[in-house]
Amino acid sequence: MTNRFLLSSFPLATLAVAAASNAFAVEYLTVEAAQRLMFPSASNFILERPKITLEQLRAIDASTHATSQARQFLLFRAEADQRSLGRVYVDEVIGKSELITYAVAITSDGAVKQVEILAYRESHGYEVRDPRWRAQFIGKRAASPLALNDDIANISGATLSSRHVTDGVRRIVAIDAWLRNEKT
Amino acid sequence: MRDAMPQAPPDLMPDLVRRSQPWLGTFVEITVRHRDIDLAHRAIAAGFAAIAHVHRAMSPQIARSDVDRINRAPVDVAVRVCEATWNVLRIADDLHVRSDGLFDCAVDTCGAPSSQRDLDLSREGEVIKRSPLAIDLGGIAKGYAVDVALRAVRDAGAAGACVNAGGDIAVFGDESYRIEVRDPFEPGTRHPLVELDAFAVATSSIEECDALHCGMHARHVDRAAFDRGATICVIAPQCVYADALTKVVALRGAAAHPLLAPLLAYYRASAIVLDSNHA
Repeated sequence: MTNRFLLSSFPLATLAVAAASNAFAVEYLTVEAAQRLMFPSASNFILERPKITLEQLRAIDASTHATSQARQFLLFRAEADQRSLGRVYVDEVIGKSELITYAVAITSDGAVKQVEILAYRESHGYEVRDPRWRAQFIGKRAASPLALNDDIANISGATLSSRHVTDGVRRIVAIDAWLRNEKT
Repeated sequence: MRDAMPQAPPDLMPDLVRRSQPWLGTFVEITVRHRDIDLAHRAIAAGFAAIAHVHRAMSPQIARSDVDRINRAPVDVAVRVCEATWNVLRIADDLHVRSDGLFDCAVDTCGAPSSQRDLDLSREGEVIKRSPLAIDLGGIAKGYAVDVALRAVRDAGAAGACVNAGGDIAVFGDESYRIEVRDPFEPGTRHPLVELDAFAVATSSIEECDALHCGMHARHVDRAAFDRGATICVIAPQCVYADALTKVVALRGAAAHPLLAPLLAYYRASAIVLDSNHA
């Protein structure tokens, strides 16, 4: 029950559908694929409801200078033989004008193991409304298997976006540390 | 919903595995063509590991990185660096000499102009500062990282691959890749740049060169020669040279393009500037 609540309160589930109709989105990995890459020996990934209140989230946001306003995230515990290997967090940030979904793997001792971008999509922007800009994608996959620079297109903008992901990772690490302290 | 997307016939669809991770202050994207998805993921992991190594060795923000230790070291004291940093410094040295000092990874400190020629590289794997300077490899390390990542992906058995670090791109494989650049002034238009086949391309906007903390003496960017927002593309056999030469072109200006010709020719590179006059 708690799982369902968390999923429905988080936009990820709906975004996967929206992105499919969105030609200028890049989807790198599903959540499941990222989990398997991050903890290959895990047999289970258990969706957990983080035992953290909105106030505690706000306090962590303030201490890590995050401007996320207590943003929700998904948390999975990676398990093998009922032993915890670590956690996978799935979070989203707004880049420059695009929405970036990413996953962070953190080991049981709190070290960042891996960061993967799951999806990168332009959420708005003037180009999107320009039919000529949209037209460039028609037949793209057939004509050129790799039309480069489409996807992470705004080259100089990517620098800012990647900083937002880095800030997001820092916030997740702080949240993870808090959750681990609570347990002990 | 997926049916609405343009689809190629199944036999034309390449097996592509594409992943992205944040490194080097940008998103690094690695795409691998292969029939074996596990091998593709292993190759991509090898590529990202190579990128991560360059990031950790050359980020000035990471405490105890090679660049951080060089920057903190006193004058005349040798600093041992890893092979990757050593390679980049040697390439930077070569570029510095051949560009008449235009390419310079030294950062001006305390208002005093400094130059990378005060880096003593006479002993293999060791850097000795002969004046109190600091360096930033931001103008060259990304291109180098792309090269080593591509090599790692290839060595891991991929059939073809593309590494893209925020516009610094290198490819290998049987297929050629069409690289297009988005018009900086008219985002609805893209210009075909090159059919890339085992070559590399780097793109920098003038603003990016201006903002770089790479010691490229950003104040010298020839603003009169470029429109704000102009994009510079350099194509070269290796991404490290493509990356570095975009900055040299930015410093020299489009009007002075002929002056750059011998330098570009030496590195078998060509430069394209997209400004508002390009049409």
